[in-house]
Amino acid sequence: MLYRSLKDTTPVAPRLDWPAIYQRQADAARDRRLKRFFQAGLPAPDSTLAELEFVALDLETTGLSVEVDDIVSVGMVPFTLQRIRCNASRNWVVRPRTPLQEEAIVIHGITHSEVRQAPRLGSIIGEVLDALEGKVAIVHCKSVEQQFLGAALERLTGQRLLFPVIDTMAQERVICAKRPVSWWQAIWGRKPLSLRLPDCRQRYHLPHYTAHHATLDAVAAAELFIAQVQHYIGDEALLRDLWE
Amino acid sequence: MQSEQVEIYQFLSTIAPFSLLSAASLEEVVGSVEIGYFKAGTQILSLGDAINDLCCVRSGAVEVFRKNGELYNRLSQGGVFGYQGLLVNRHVRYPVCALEDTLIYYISGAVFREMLDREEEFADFFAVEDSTRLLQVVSRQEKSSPLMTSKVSSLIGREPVTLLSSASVQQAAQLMCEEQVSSLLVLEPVTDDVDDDQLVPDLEAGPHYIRGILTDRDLRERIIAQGLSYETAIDEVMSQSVVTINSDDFVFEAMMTMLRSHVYHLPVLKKGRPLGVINLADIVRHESQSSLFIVSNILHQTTLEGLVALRDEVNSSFVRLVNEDANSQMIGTAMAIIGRTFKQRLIELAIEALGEPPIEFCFLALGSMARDEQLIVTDQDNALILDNSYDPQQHGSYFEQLAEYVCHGLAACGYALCTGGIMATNPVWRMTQAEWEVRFCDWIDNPTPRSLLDSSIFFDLDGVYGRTEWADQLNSLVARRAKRSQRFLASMARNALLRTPPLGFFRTFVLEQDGEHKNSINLKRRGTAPLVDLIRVHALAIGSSSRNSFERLDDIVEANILPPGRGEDIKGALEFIALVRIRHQKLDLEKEIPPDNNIEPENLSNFERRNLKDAFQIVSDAQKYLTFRYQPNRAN
Repeated sequence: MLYRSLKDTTPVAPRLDWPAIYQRQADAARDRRLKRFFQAGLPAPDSTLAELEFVALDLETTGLSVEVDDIVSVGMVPFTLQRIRCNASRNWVVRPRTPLQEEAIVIHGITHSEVRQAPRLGSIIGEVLDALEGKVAIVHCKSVEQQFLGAALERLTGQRLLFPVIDTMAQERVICAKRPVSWWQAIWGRKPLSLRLPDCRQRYHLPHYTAHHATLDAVAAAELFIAQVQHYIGDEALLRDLWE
Repeated sequence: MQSEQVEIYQFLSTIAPFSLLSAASLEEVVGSVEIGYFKAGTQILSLGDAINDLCCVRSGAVEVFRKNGELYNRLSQGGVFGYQGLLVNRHVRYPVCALEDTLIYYISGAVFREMLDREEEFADFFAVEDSTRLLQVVSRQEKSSPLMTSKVSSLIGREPVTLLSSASVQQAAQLMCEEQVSSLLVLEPVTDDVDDDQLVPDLEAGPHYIRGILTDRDLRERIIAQGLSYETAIDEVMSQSVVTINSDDFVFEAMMTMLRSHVYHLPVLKKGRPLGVINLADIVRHESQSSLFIVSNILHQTTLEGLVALRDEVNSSFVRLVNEDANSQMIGTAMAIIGRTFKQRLIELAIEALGEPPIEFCFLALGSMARDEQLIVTDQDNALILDNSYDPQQHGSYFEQLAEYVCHGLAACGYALCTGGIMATNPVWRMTQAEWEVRFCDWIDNPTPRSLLDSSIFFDLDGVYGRTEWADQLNSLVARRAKRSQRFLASMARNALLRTPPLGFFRTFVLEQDGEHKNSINLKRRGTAPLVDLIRVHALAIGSSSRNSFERLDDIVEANILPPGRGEDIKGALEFIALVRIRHQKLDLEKEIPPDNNIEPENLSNFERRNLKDAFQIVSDAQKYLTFRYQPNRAN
């Protein structure tokens, strides 16, 4: 099995000492919600994936620039490698500071009136942190979730939120890079595989979902992660080798 | 409902049994869903493990096994499993393995049980065995067919006009004019105490029996044309063998009875008492576009070209029957009658061309036509029985020419030549009565699976023209002899297992790889033919003289040689597979592409998929039972 070797692969990112980072953030925290969040801590870095509880996280935003744009919707779903607990999924629509662009409406299907009635992120961020507490977050394309959530908390509390995630996109990039090159590809050059969520899912024979609904995307990312674990990563892999 | 659940809702709402739920209940089910992913080859449920959820395949495919490790079922998208364990003791009874990368929706067992209590149709789905589910489907379809629901009694417009047999033909004609009818029933009291002058039977006085029937046509052909006296007693000219029908029979059966026995008036009886007479016109009025038209059309053609021109009409009457929700037996019988009529008319035309036959003969139909199970895509299988006085030198060329005319005529009319050469044109299959008997005895007494390989078709045999009683004699010879030869039955049983149903349907089903129909399933070869074959073996074993598979099944059930309920299962499976085959041929005809027996799985509706799967399972079980029952050295 050519892919087996992937399990013993070197980590995709420099290993950070996340428990220490959490401890520092907890000490620095003045906001009650943040303090509680950091004090709850993280699973042990040498836990195997099989024994962990995860939460898939997806944000929908008004655009891609963390300076200009803002969060409109947060979706989360808790899961283990055995089960995705859709029945415990959460979804929040929030009112962004920047006005909603037409093209964003087209993508998310969230309308102006929905947004006008929605609460500010500040009033629900406590619930978001509670749902995330003590679990490992799974995201597809970490820059969006880490940066937007980090920036939002900095605005709300004055403290930047640093939290570890496992990025299914980064995992997929590693997996694709290790794929054997066929003679065909050797002659014509390797065509880079798309790392978009639906394209990644297709490689694991996962069904097509109507994309860009925060919770549905979270479910989609959770399914993708379980598939990656089953096919390549292995459930004995250690948390410390995967989180970034 | 949360909006991300819409995706799950939309999926579940399209598949049985969830589609049977009310919207509120379905929302509740959706709310309980959890998801699991399984790489191809991994175990989803292990025998004996606790089970708390109903499982539904969202994408991919799984295999369900029996306890002994034998493959029980394959399920693809929409397939539901785990309920047997959930319903019994909450432990896995049928282990399940992922055949492909598979996404499973888990539905909470508590919600599942709640739905069973609350939603009746949903509960029915799980309460019944697969085979019963199929039967329900078939019977539901039959109920919706107007042809099957109209009883003969609904066609009766008036009391029968009756007369005693002592009346003269003139008196009969006068009565017919008075009453404006085209036929009279000739009755006779059971007790013989009638006044000599009495003409009209007194039905109140006591029971009567039907002595005969007199029709307009009899007056014309048997009296006026023959120049008989008007005083002739009707007794002498009426038809004495009266074909009757029961008032509880269906209109369709009346139509088939008329076609089969070439009569146009049928007395309708209720508990033996005549209720009335129905004629062809009554049925035609009831069923205005019936296949009857084509039959009389065939009989009126005077040239081969005329017959060939009717080919399209055969197809359209087939399409009409399907559109009217006729069941497979009706369609099979109607098409067989049409085919038989073509054959009869061609023989008549051949005799016109070649002159009267030098010796007597019987033209045989074999296979589907003999079983009344003909469809639109069919080849011809036929043979000739010749009088024992047959002399090849003297008569050989006449019958060779007759066979050539009929078989090539049939080919021109759309009944393809038999590739196996089982046709009257083949000198091997033109034998005298005595030679046929020897041949059948040899097949039965000295059987090997190989020698019987191509001859099973001869055990479905029907006389079409000439001395048809010779065919009946052969049939009764077979019925008497076959049941005594265990080796013969075992050989037939072995051959009946050569064609197997495509059990793992839709995902990993075995596709027909040969010929032009790649990636499709031949529903005849893999579905109806194996069933017909195994039904024939049972029928031979009990000495049944029926030829139609459904009638044979009735005999088999009556003989009590199948486990209880199995006969009904097989009937349901045969009916369903045949109907799917028929519907797909109809669709081909409507699309103006040549119809065939192949279906592509992607062209099947969900309903058809699900029930075909059940049906194939029944075929497979029935085949296993056949192996068990007919072992070469086992006494039955």
